[in-house]
Amino acid sequence: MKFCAIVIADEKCDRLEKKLIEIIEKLRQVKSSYLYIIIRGAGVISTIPRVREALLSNLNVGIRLYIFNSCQELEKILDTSVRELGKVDQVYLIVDDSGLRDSALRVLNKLGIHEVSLC
Amino acid sequence: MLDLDFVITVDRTLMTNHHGKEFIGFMTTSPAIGLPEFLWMWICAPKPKCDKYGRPREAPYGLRKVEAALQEAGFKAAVIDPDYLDKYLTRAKALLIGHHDFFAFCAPSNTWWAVTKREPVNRKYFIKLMESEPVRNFKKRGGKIIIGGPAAWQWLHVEDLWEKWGVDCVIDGEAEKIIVKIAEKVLNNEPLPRYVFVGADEVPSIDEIPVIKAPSVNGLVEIMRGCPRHCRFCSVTLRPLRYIPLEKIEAEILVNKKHGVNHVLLHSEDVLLYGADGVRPRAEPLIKLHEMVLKHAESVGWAHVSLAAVVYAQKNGRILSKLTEMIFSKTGQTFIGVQTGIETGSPRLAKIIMPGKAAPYKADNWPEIVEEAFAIMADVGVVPAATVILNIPEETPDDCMKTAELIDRLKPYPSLIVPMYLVPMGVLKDKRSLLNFRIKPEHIEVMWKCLEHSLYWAPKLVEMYVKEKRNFAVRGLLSLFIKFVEWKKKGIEKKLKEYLEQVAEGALEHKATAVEAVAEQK
Repeated sequence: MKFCAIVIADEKCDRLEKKLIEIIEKLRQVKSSYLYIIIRGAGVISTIPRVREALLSNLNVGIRLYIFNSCQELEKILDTSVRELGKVDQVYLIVDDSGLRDSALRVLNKLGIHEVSLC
Repeated sequence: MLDLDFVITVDRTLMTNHHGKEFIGFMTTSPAIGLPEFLWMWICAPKPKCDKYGRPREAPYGLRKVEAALQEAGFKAAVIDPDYLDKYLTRAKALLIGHHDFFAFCAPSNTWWAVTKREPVNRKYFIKLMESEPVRNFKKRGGKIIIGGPAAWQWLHVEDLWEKWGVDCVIDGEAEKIIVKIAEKVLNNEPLPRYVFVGADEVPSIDEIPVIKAPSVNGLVEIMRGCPRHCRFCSVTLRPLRYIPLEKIEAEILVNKKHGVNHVLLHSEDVLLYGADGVRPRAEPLIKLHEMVLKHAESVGWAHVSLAAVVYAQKNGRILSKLTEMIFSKTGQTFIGVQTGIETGSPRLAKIIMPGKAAPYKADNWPEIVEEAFAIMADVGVVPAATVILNIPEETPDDCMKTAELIDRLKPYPSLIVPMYLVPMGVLKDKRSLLNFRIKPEHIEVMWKCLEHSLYWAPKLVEMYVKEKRNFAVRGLLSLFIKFVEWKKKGIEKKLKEYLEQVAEGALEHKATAVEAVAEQK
């Protein structure tokens, strides 16, 4: 039975890397787990340094990393991600910006996901 | 031209058959030494024969697997030689590139780069490909670039180039299943993940690994995936262990043979573990495999064997003798070249970083296992190209001295020994600082021993390995290169004290960089 999790994050959030490492470490204990990391960021040049150590700490978790800039992009990515995963067991939000948090929660609600962990 | 949505390619250093001699391919991991670069490239990476559509007769096995997966899923996809990209990239939707060392961060490229202070040709030609006009124009018109292969991890260290070249998706892991989903996303215009790490359920099972549709370089066919030894520096060991069934191996050999590629290069992290009982080789599956291969092959090669498996196989039923006798009597070959890993001569270090490498024997006895394996291989006609690893996190000068002493003891056995700087893969892969390292005096000692050993054997091995009349020019140039290295060695020998002082002062620091290095070249 696979375990599917989604992280919605902001590349500007100070605790991003630390929290991601913790989440990946937790998922590594599950035999078959997937983590979709959906980050608001300017592009790989600024986002990758923020998540590099977390991605390199992974050995067995199936990971997708998406970068978005607008709410429409987030909606599109979340929509295809939820469809692809089939089920979502856990959603984490690593966001300080209340505007982004509200947008993410609204999109998640629209997709029928109401349980979210704020990190 | 063909109507293709997905063009699969790689730069010239990999899109080549290395004159039918895969070991010459190692020269693509170095800058040109003692020869002009065009001659160096001609020796190690000649352009392959292509059909009128630009499809190479032989292509790297990984690219062939992706091609097969996409074709079986109904996509219009093919491997295309890099010189023909302009014919396809005006219409294709995605360009797929696979490589085993995009930026020369892997060993041995990193070692040659550090020692010569010059950029290896594999890196140089990959950058050239990405900055070529067809690729730049393709990006300008919105085409997608998808990257994969065993060196995909390197992109996490070069975000500047990733951005500059507009790479849309990097796939890290076995791609046969995931590439189909990514291709669907491309055609449906859905957002692509910028980075994918292939999860446990997405790793293809035996049934899901497609049979290649066109020939692989030098008839390489995979016989197993994964490795049970769990060395800490290795990524292969993280993959599930799968043995490819004989029928599937035979089907690929027949694809190669149909196109005139009659050599069979059996690929596995450890050929002797095909059908093994854990780490104990078994005669029956190995003999069946070779009986099948020898029905079709004009010559046979092995990609890798582990030294403990050599010892165990020979001590338990003389398996190695039986296999080589079978091969030599059927093909007329007189030796088999194979890659293997010594990694260290220190039992202490072996216990820390590769406790399973000596299994079923004890890691405490690792140096003795290495010596015994080399003696066995010399007896039965197997010639190893062996690696030793430098700069392992727990390494001490004493460990390096033990490695140097072991290399001394291996002098009587025909072989090449190559030093490599540790690449942070496997469970060590988050140790990014290891991409940048300092050459230490004890490393010089080990490298010097490797150089002496390899220069002692290289002239004889070139005569054996490149003996065909058609390869006389390659043989001549290789001999010239060896003479140049011998001459250079004599020069350095005098200056070694000065060199060691430089090393002690930290002057020989290697920094594997991305954009800065590209800018420096221009």
